[in-house]
Amino acid sequence: MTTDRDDMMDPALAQLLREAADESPPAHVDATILAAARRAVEPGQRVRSAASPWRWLLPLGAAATIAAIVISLQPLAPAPVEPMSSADNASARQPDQASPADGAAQASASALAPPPAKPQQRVIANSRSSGAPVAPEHDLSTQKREARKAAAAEPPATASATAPAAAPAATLAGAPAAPSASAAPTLGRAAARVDAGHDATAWIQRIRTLLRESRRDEAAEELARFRAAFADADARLPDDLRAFAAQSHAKSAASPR
Amino acid sequence: MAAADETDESLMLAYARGEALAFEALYARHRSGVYRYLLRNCGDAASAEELFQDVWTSVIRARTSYLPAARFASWLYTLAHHRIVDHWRARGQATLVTIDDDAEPAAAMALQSPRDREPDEEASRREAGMRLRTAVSALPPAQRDAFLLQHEGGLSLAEIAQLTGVGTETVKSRLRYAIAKLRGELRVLREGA
Repeated sequence: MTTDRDDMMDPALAQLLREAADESPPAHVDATILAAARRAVEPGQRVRSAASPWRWLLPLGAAATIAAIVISLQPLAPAPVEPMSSADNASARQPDQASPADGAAQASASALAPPPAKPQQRVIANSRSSGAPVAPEHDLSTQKREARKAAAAEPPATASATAPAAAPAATLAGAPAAPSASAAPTLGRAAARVDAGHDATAWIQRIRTLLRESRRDEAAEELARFRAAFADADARLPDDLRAFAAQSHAKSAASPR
Repeated sequence: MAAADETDESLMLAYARGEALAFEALYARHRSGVYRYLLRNCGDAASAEELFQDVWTSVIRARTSYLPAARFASWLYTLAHHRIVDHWRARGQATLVTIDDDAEPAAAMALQSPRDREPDEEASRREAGMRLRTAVSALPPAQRDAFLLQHEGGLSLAEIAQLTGVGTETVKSRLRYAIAKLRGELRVLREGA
């Protein structure tokens, strides 16, 4: 190649042409081309860096954080609302007398729930194990109120009749159930004291009815119980019973108990 | 890497691997020659700049597919030659093949125009160089292209023949005519001085 040119080119002509060859591309064209050349190889470097395993670190960390939040919030999500079944009600009212059919449910509940230190906690555990929410109307305080209403609606006619009515209240209050009739007056007084404001009028009406039916002995016994239950029993008595109360008081004072 | 000791081909391969500095070395070696080749062939600086950017953009894009089967300079000036041919075709001008020294006396007459001008007694070598450049631009396209490929690109007769798609003897003929005309121009300049 060089030989070809040397053979054909005049040295003086070649020298003049070299001296005259002073044109070159403008600086902005040089800058444009060099910048394009650099840009062309930069994406390749970015691709290599992106191929490193560290590029997974950020999305992996974000996914792990989201998963942890979801798992931690899952137990706090509200359970679907279902009506409380009769079995649940029964076990809630008498947790210590649950039927054998409830044994499995209670066992699973005891496995999931803390030890049943209180009956109310046990009721909640049973409800959660069956997926049903706790019914607020059926807690122990509500049952206690219902027992008081029942006692007020039905004043104790006799000692034997008083005991069954007072027994549930005593049981719910933590006391043992009345084993015999001898304990009935005590329990009857206890129950009568609880509902003092509501019972006095009914009790007086009962005494009046017994007198009207000429059942004076029973009326006297009832008056004695009334006096035992209320310190101001004589003050509560109406005028038509005061005479009977005075006779009954004199009779009881004369005869030993 | 010492770019000065590297061949054009190894620099191009290094650039294909992502070394931008290799391209800068390659560009520094060939930027002026390619630019003058385009400027002499197309005649105006604006078109030459546009074509120049096209050529080097083609080099950048073809970096990953480049194979050093031939000299880098031959490959580079092939790209430039194709741009010039496209440029002439876009302007509706004749191609390099049809306009030759023997077939176009009008093109040869263009060389005589500087001879008609009054020689400047104070013409410097710079002016002589400018006239020679003008004379090169006035050469018939085929002769001019062959001359510029040899003078600016340093291509051999075989490379020019392969690049332009003609035989080696045709290339020799074109170069012989071109140089003869330029010598005549130089003689006129000397006589004028």
